[in-house]
Amino acid sequence: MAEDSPLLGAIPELDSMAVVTVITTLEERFGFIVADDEIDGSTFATVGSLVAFVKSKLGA
Amino acid sequence: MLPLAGGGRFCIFHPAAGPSAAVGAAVYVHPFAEEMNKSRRMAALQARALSAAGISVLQIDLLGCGDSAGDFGDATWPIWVADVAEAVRWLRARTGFAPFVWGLRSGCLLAVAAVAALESAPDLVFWQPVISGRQHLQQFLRLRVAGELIGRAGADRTGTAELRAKLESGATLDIAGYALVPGVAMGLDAADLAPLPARVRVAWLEVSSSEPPELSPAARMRVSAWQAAGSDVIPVAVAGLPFWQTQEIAECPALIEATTSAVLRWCA
Repeated sequence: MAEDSPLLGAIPELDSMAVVTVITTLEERFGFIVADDEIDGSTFATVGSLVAFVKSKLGA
Repeated sequence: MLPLAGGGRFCIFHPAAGPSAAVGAAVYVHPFAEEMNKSRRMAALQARALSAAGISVLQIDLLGCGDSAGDFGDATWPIWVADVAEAVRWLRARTGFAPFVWGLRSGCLLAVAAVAALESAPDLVFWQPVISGRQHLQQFLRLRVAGELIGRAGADRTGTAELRAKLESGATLDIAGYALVPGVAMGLDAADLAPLPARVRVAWLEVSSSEPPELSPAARMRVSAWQAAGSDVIPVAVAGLPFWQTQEIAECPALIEATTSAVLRWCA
C-alpha cells in the first residue's frame, strides 16, 4: 500500500462497521478520541488521507 | 450466588487445585456489553489455568450482566464497583489470601475504582485495559451511528454528541441490544485508568498484531505514569487476536501463559 492507495470504495470489506473498527483501533493505539464531525468519507479516501488525519490528531 | 443489594450475583468459583498447595487468589472482572460475551471462553481458560497453578479464582457476573439478578438497565457504575469489592472480600474470607483483581478491558477501570472501597490495595492484572472511559463510551455510542459516519456530511447526522446529551438529560438509550442507562454511562465516562496512590504490583498485558509484539504507544505512556507513581508494573505484549471483539470466538494461549507466569512470581 502507498500513500495514494484508495481505501473507501476500493476495498469491499471496508464497510461502515469496518470503518468503525479502524477508528476504534486508532483511538486505542494512540490514545485520542474521534468526534463524529472530525471524519467523513474523505478521511478514508486513501491511505494518505487517513495518515494525515492521524497526524493531525497527534499534533493537536 | 453472592447475595448482594439488588439480588444475587452469579459467580463461578474455581478453587485452587493441582499438585502443590494453594498459593493465591484472584477475582475476575468482565468487560462491558458484547465484549463480555466474546471473552467468556478466554476468561474460563485463564481461570482454569490459574486454578491448576494453585490460585483460586472467583468470576463474578456484575449486576444485570450474565446470569446475575437484574437487567442491564438496573445497573449503575457505583454498584458494579461495589460488586467487585464484595467479590474480593468474599474470596479473601474464603481462601485466606489477599486476592489480586484481574480485569479485562473496561473491567480494569472497575478494578481500579474498587481499590478505594477496599481495606487494603490489591495487586492488579490488566488485560488490554481501557485507559479512558470516555473513549470507551464514545466507541459504544458510535455503534448506533456507524452507518452515518461515512455516508453523510457532518451537519446532517444524529451523532454521538446528541446521544451523549440525551444521556446527560437522564434518558436511556438502546444500543446494540443493551439498555444504556445514565447511571452506567456517566460513571464509565468519568472513569480513567489513573495511577493509584497506593503502590501495588501490576501485570499489564496486551495482545498485539505487531512483529515482535509490542504495547501500544498509548499503553506505554500510561505504564510509565503508573511506574512514576511508584507501582511495580510488568508490561507484557503477546502475539494474538483481539478475542474480545473478533467475529468468531478466539483464543490466545500466549496471553494465558504470560499471565500465569507473571502472577506466580507474586505468589512465590
